Amino acid sequence: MSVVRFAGIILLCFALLAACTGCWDQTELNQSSLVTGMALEPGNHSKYKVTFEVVNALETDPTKGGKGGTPTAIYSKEGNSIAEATQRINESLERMILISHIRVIIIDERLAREGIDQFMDVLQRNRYVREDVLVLVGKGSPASDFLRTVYARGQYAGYKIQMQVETYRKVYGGIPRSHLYDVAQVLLTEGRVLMLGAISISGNVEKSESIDSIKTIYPAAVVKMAGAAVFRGDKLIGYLSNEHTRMVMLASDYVYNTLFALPGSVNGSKSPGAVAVQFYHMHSHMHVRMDGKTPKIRLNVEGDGKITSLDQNIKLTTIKGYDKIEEMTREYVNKELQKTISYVQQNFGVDVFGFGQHYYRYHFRKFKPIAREWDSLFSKAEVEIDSNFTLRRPDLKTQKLEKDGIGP
Amino acid sequence: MNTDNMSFAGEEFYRLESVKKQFSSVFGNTADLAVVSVDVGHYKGLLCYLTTMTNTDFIIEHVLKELTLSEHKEPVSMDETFHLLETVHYAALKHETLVDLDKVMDKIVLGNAAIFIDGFPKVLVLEVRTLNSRSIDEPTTQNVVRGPKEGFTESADTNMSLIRRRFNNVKLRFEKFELGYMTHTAVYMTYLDGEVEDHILKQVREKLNGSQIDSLFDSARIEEMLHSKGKGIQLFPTVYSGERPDAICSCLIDKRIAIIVDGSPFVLVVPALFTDFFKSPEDEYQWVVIGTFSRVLRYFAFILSLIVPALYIAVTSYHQELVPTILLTSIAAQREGIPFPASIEILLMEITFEILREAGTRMPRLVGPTISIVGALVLGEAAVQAGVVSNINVIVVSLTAISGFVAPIYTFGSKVRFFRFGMIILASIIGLYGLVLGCAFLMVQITRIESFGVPYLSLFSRWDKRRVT
Amino acid sequence: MTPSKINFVDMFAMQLVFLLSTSIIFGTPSVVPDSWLVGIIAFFPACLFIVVYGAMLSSQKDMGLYQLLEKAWGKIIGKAFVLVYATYFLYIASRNIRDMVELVMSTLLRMTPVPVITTLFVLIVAYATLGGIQAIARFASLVLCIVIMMLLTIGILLMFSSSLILEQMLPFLSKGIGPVVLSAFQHSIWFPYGEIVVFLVFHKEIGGAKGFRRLTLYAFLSACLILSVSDLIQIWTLGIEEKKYSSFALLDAARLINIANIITRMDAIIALIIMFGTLLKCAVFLFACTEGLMHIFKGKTGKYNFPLALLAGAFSILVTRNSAEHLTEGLTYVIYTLHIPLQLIVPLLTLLLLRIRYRKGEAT
Repeated sequence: MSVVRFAGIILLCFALLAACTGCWDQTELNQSSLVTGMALEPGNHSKYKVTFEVVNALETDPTKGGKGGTPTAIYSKEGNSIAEATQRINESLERMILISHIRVIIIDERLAREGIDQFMDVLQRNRYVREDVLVLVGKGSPASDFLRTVYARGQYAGYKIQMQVETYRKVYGGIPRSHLYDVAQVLLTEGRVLMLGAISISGNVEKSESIDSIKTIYPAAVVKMAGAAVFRGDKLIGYLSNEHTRMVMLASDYVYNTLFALPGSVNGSKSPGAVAVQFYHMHSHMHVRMDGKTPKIRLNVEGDGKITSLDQNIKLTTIKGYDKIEEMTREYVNKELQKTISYVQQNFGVDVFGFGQHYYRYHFRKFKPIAREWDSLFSKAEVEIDSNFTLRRPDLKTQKLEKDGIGP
Repeated sequence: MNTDNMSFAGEEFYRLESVKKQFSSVFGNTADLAVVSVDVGHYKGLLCYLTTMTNTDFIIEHVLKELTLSEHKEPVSMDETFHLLETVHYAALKHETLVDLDKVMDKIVLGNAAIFIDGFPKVLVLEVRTLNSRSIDEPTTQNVVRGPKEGFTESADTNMSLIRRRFNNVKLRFEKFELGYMTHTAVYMTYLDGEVEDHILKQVREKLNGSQIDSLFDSARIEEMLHSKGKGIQLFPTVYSGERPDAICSCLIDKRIAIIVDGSPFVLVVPALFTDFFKSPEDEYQWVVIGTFSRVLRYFAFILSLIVPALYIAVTSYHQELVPTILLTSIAAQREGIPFPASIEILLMEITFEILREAGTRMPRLVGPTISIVGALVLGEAAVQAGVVSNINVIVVSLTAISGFVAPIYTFGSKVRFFRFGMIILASIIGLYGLVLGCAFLMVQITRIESFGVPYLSLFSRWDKRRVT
Repeated sequence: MTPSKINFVDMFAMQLVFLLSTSIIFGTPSVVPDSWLVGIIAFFPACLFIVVYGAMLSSQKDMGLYQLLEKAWGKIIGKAFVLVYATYFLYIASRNIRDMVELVMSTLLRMTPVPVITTLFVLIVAYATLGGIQAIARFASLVLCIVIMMLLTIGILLMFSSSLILEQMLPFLSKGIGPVVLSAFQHSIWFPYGEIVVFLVFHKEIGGAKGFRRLTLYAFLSACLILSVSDLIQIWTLGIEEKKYSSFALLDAARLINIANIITRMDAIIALIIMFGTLLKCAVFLFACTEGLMHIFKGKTGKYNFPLALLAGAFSILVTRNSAEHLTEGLTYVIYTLHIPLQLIVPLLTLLLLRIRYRKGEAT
């Protein structure tokens, strides 16, 4: 085969490809827009109202600075399925939308109470939706309002909320993991109910829509973490506060870093923050066994940490000082955990901790017959908490700075 | 040795005919061996040396003139002649007297000349090694920081001597061919006798003898000829061309054949493998970790220069989901308002770069800086400012361009540029799928090629126990 | 600088990639929860193939599958069988192409017409076969490096994004050992292990019966190991429950990679592995098919490659309508009507005939 012939064949192939009009899948970046957030609400006329947060790329570019417009624009569409509403977004938007970069999906409270199963499939099936997109429940306000807040630093709401949730979870643990794949996993496995992160808005949304609202020192509206939304099956049944959520997450071994403010024993429980301890490596193990018809659960919580603040004079040069604070921490955590567990048992009666899941994994044959009635068994479960904390160092000072006094 | 020489009372007398025969059997038909019949006083003698190790003027001036013993009119005995030569005529040159022919030959490859006298047992060995007067410059295409700075020149004789000086070994052969029925250019096939596979030698000889070219001004023509034309077209070079004697010598050690063409400073080596094009002689002169690191870096740069622009197109106009969000918004912000699709944009800049490169290599030295200023500053900066191309595009193209030049062998780098355009076109038609298909095609191509029967790229050949090496 | 020889490591690489290519993503069907165990269990009965095929090769000197068939069954029936095998190889090749296209269409592309994708692919397959089995083997060693590297990358990245949760492989054997063993016998030993029958064609390159036994055993072992590890990774990331619903489990696992929000969405890597693997597998099958045709109809080398490749491509589009049909066909019909007869029964009968007809051993 000569070179000319070979080149000819190659050229012919390309010509043919080009003649078939080629570039079927091409979506040019300057002819499409990124979607970074999505809010689902019940519609006025149709079943759903889907709101997209569409990025105006030019305004997000820190080097060019943009023309002072908002970094995002909000478009809503109603439809009888989410896919339909998504496809019809172009009724009001001139560009093709790229949904592969959605960071958060905010579900309206009203919709969540009806059940989320009806629309999860479209999100899970679509390959463009990332598996690690956050699925959150908007508490107290319509879901689209969450996307309607403008933030400083040219960031779009979707990205801000995602980062906020992830950071909060990392440093404090007050919000559950609620990625799209967590939803699927929880819905598929036995013995655990779904818990999604909840967010709420404080402030005035109407004012916050304008770019002027970030020109003040205090933003007009701020999205706040609001603990967890608890589901029974796929329906929302209530919320857990941030503190309760943290304890739930701690029990299911999802908290690594957190801080406990121990109420001082001297001044009574009215003055929290007498001692603050920061933990870096927290772990919890659970052991579940059935005693007749009541599940007996033993929870081990372990942690490694340091002392961050000390309002009373405890000497940290002595072993006794550490022992005392460790004892205080133990008592505090045990009490709080116990409180949370009984709160969940009484108010919701569903296993958000995953005790059942643990039993299912490790004692499959024993779990099988009681799988259906697990939630009712759980509300009667006896939980024994055994925590063990180790405080390693006092940071820079060995005790609270106080005058020793010279006198006798 | 003893069989061919008559021996009286334990001493060997050299017969000129048998000495000649011995030389041709040891040195083969190498072209740089001179075995000259001379008169030594009143006796027949033989002067042997390697032309590549000395220069002719030196031999005429210092050796031949003295050899006739012109001031001694009356015949002297053989012993005396030898003694005279040793003590009077060549006293200024470094010399020694040897008896064993093997040792003599070893001396000859080191740049000595040997004088035999017919029927005399001793051989006078003179050091005639001279530096060649031709200036040897640093190579222009294969530069090194550490290592010899000599480069081949246009003269084949110099080139041969550069190799011979590094190879003090009787097995080194220079086989002479004449190519081009109009130009009769001298072509030397260089190899280590006994090390190279016979059938490779045979193939090269056949190819050189069977050539039908009329003229030969550079080794590139031969490269074309030697380039193995197996099944189908071959896109990768299978002939290594080097400007550095040390690189070529290490190839010879590796049991390969070098081809020197008179008039070309580029010496060719066959068979050449894929990995050779990523080796620089410098690698071996450095700490092994650094050498390996830079070699790995070269492979990496090769891959980069092949796929980066295509990947950019595939990812920004087909598979946006693969880019991290922040990066994508940043790219999107830059692409905003650019009139062309990404593929056209990249092609535009790639072609501009090719033009700049071509202009840069061909134009007179003095204009060089002007072009680079116009090219780099005016074109690049202004195009971005005017919103014709995006910043990221300029980054992609320049990254590719620079990694394209990392390949130590120029011919290889220039071929890679060609594939890059193919990749760009494939990626702009069907995205990542096209890019992967393009890579697959190149991989199939690489593994299919055999250079003189040696697989061009064989990853595990080193670990095959049955291999004879 | 020694000239090309048959390189055992390359051959091993070829067998390994052949075994891994599509089975790494379609391999063990998730009909049972503990699918990683299926791969391990299937290894033992699969060794039966090595015994049978090894015996076939050693019964006659220097004879490959096609020659043996002709020798055992006589000229006419033998040639018919050769044709059957050639068609079988072509059919499997086209099924593999279809697998790959399904994956590409659901991960990389949406609107590009399938014929375009297939045509481009088979052209490269045909081109790869033109170089002969040694070139394919060298290509395989390159592909093997890529595949192993990519799998390692995925494993490590998943580990760093803390997606590997070992607990998720529990409950262990929730449905008992029965279904696992059944699944091993129903699917895994025929695909991918049984498909090794195609290597009987390349008896010379693979080093006769002895080489075949040794190479294939190593290849089976490594393939079993890699497939199980990949299965385990899938289970550890997705969980037993979710893996069941996934069309491409390894791909779904790779989607979970997230390191600092920068390294995300590695599904393209999986598509890459599958594409290279399928390319090699199809090349092997296509080459075996062309060898068969040349055995029957004679002809110049390279004459059949391109037409047959295009035929396989066309086959792959026409053979089934949708992916469900494709899967059912692959998991049930093909196994009972094609794999079992052609991978086990015919070779066994051939071996028996060879033993009976040429009992005296060396008689030819």
